Amino acid sequence: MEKPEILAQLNTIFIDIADNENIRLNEMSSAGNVEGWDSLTHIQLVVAIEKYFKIRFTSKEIQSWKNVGELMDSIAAKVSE
Amino acid sequence: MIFTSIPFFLFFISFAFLYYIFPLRFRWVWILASSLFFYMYGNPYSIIIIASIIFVTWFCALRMEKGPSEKVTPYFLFAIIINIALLVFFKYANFFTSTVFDLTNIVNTQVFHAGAPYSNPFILNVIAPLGLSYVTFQAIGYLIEIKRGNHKAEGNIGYLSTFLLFFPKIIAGPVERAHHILPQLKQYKPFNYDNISKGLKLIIWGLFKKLVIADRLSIYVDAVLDNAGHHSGTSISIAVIFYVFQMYADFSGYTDMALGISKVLGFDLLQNFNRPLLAKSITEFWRKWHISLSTWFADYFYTPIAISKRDWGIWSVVYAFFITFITLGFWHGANWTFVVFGALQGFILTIEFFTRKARKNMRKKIPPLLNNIIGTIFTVGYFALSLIFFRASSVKDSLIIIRRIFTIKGPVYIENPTIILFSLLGIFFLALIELKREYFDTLFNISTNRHWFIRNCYYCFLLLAILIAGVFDGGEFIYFQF
Repeated sequence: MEKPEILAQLNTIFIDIADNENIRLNEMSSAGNVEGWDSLTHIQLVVAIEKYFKIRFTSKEIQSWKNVGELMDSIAAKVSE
Repeated sequence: MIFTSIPFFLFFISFAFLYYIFPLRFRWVWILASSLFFYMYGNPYSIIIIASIIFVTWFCALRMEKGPSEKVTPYFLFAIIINIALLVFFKYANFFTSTVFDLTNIVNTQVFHAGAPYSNPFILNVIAPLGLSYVTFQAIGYLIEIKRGNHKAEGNIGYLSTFLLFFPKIIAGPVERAHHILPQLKQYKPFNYDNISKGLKLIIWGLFKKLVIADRLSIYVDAVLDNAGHHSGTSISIAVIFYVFQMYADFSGYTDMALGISKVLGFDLLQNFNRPLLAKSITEFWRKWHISLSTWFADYFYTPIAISKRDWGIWSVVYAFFITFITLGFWHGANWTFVVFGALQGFILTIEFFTRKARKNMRKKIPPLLNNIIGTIFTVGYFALSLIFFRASSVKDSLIIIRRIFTIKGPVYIENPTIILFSLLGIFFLALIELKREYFDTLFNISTNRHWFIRNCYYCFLLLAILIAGVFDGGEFIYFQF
């Protein structure tokens, strides 16, 4: 799966979970600059992403992402396994 | 040594003067020596416990990084267990023995002794060293970050000791992060007029909040809540609302002083408050109140728990809320009142979590001003209710206070009208400043006015208010006990 495709799907998931239709993600997006993405919605985002892409992250991976770019790298690596 | 005391004033003046005379390279040594003096002043033996924590943390962190990979987890666990064991022993030993004893005593007295009371023979005569929980939390955070591979272990035990013992924050925070302070310790910090000016202004503002607002409010709060059985529901309600503002002025006043003292030395500490009493929900409130502790709990407690239970779906968040906030409540002290305080936060956060979309839709239909007013009143009201448990000596006393609020009518207790007047003036002034900063940040700038005369008039007014209306025998900061 290509990164633009992952980003587009992530955008759809974020809009749904964070309940914010104005979200436009890019690789540098993080909890600090996306309204509605906080420690509460973070867990729901992880669950929704795992469910959609049919993958399973480790706790260490989940706590290591600093922005959407790093999240996309993890998804790309898991999907290609 | 309390920040508002004359000994601290003398200590700080002489320390800061010599700090800027010391060679840049060795200033951290002077900070460490002064922090040791500050900490050992009054109770020199407590340092043994803190020194043990520092040594174990430093040694294990180094071994985790430089030893074989299979030894990382054992060293990590050993250091965490030592930290937690010391904290639990000094802070909670009597709580646990008393709870166990009370339970067995109920059985014994009912079955064997027909109600004859026992006294607990297991009460230990231990006093927790000042700032123990703050040092422990910072040490645990440091170890977790190294375990996660986010930061390098500090090789110089002197730097690590200075980070953990740094005197402006050792007693009541902010709960700092090693990666925020250690680089600052290693930077050269030449004399900077701007830092001194900003730091002194923060110290004056913190002193004002503590001495003029918090300690003035505490006179009425103590008079009513310490004798709640003799007061009407109206008086108790007023005292409970006053206590919210007392707590905020006291704790944020201390934090402002800690930040100001650090700023004079050229250090930036983490922000701990961001106008929490103007939050529109309890969820928002906890992002603005005691921020350094709530983010610590979010990073090292709530998130790992919620992640590990994420297969439960939305209930993982609820579970993590309750575990986190009950622990956070219990962190405040060995009393069931703090557990109830934490559970009340977990309860309302769960309700807010489940209703967040409905509330968001409702907000769209209400004018923003009305929405802000309703949200703020709810937040302050709910926090006030939970603080009844926070302040009372037992859950039973808390429930009696709540019952009296709703059932006992009568006149408002006014022994001395000037106390009420000054208390209300203090709340009004604090609210005015907070509302201005929240909603009109670029307008009516007095404290940051471009004309030095207006700026200085403002700080002269604060100093005069401290001298005229300050309560100088108000005692310690509330959070010093935690």
